[in-house]
Amino acid sequence: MLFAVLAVCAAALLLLRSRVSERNTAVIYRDGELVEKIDLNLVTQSREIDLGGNVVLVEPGRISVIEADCPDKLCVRQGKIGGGGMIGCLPNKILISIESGAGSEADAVVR
Amino acid sequence: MLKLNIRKLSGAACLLLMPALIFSGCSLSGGNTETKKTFFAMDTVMTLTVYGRKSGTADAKMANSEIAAEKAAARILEIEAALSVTSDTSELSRLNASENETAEASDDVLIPLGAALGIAGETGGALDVTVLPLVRAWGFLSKEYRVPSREELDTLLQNVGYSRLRISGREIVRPPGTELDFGAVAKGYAAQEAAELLRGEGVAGAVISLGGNVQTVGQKPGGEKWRIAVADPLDPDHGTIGTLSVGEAAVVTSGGYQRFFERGTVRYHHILDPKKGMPAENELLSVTVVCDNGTKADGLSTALFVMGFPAAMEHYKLQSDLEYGGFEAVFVTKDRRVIVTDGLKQSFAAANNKYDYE
Repeated sequence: MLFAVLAVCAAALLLLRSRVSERNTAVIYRDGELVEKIDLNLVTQSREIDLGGNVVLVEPGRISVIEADCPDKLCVRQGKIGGGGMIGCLPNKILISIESGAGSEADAVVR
Repeated sequence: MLKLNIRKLSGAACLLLMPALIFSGCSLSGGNTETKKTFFAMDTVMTLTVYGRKSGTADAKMANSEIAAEKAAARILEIEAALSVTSDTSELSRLNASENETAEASDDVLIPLGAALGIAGETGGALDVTVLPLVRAWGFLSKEYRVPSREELDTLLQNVGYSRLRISGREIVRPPGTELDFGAVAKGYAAQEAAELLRGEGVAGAVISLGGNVQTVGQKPGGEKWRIAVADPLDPDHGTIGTLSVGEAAVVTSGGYQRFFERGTVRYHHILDPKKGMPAENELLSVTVVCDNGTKADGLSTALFVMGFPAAMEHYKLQSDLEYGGFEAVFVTKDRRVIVTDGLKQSFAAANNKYDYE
C-alpha cells in the first residue's frame, strides 16, 4: 500500500517535472504591451504574425522574425529561437523572449 | 534592427527610453518573490531579476522587489542620460562640445572616467576613452557604417590619446578636439550602480543583465551560486561555451561578434584599437572578465580584447600577484581554444565540443 502511494507520488512528480522542463513559451511584446503568448510545443502548424514593421514566423517548437522594415535586419539574422533566448528589434520596440521552465538553466548569459 | 547583444560603444544611444517595458512577478518558496523587469536602454535590452518581498506583505526586513527593481531601472536611465554620446543634451555630449579646456563634471562622469583612465594606464592604452572621433568615422554611432581611409584615420588619431586628459578635483582638463566616449565602460558602470542601489535597498538577491553585461547581487534563493552562461562567439545567439558559477560578481564579455558590419568578405567590428584606429584584430574571439566591480569588468574586457591573447595573459599574471583588485578571465581564441584563468577553473563548466579547453 505504502509502496503504491509512493509510486504514484513519484510518477506524479516525474510528470510534473517533465512538464516544467519542457515549457517552451514564446512571449511577444510590442512597445511594452503583450501581443501574444504562445506555447511553442503545442504549435502543430506554422503561421505568420504581422506586427507592422516585422513579420514573425511561428513554427512547432521555435519562432523567428522573417521580415523587417529596417536597414540592417539584425533580428532576422538572429534566426530561429526555441527552448530559450531572445530576439529584439530596437527600432520597432519588439521583443520576443522564450520562457523555458527548466530549473537548471543559467541565471543570465554574458554576450 | 539591432541585435540584443550589441553592447560596447553604445553608452551611446539615448534612442530608446522605455522604462517599465515589462514587469512580471512570481512567488517563490520562503516568502521571497521574484520580480523581472525588462526595458530598452543604452541601445540594448536590459533585464533586472530581483528577489525580495512581495508587494503588500509585511516583512520589514526584506526589500520590496518591485520597488527596488523600479529604482534600479530609474538609476540606469539616469546614467544613460548623462553618458549617451548620441544625445546632444547628455552631460558627456555637452562636455565634448565645450570649447573650454576645463569643465566641471558629475560623479556619473568622473567615476567611470577615473576607472577607465586607470585601466588605460595599466594596459598601455589598450582602453582609451578618447576614441569618439574614430567611432563616429566608422559609423558606429549613426549606424551608417563605412570604412574610413588611412589618411582620414591618421588625421583623427591626432585627437586621440587618453594621456591628453587630466582629472583635477571635479574638473576634467582636456585639449579642445578631444572627445570622450564611454561605450566601453557605461554599461558596466550602470550595472555597478544598479547593484549598489539594490544592495542598499536590502534585496535578497538580484541579477542585472545590461545587454549581456552581467552583475549579481546577494544570494540566489536556495543559496546556490548564480549560474552565468558565456556565449559562444561563433554562435552567440544560440550557443554557449560553458557556465560560470559565481557569488557576487560582475561578468562581462567583449568580442568582435557583438557589433560589426561587412564590406565584401571583410568583417569590421566595433572594438577599435585606439593606436591604429582600426578594429582590433588578433588571435582572440572573445574575452570574459570576472571581478568585483562592473565598471572594471567592462573596461578590462575591452582592453584585454585589444591587447590580444599573449599580452592579455601576461597582464593577468602580473596583476594576479597584486593584493588589490584582481580579476579572472575566460579567453576564446580563433584556433578554438578556451583558456580559463586559475581562479575560475573550479567554477567553470565547459559545454561545447567545438573547443579545446585549457
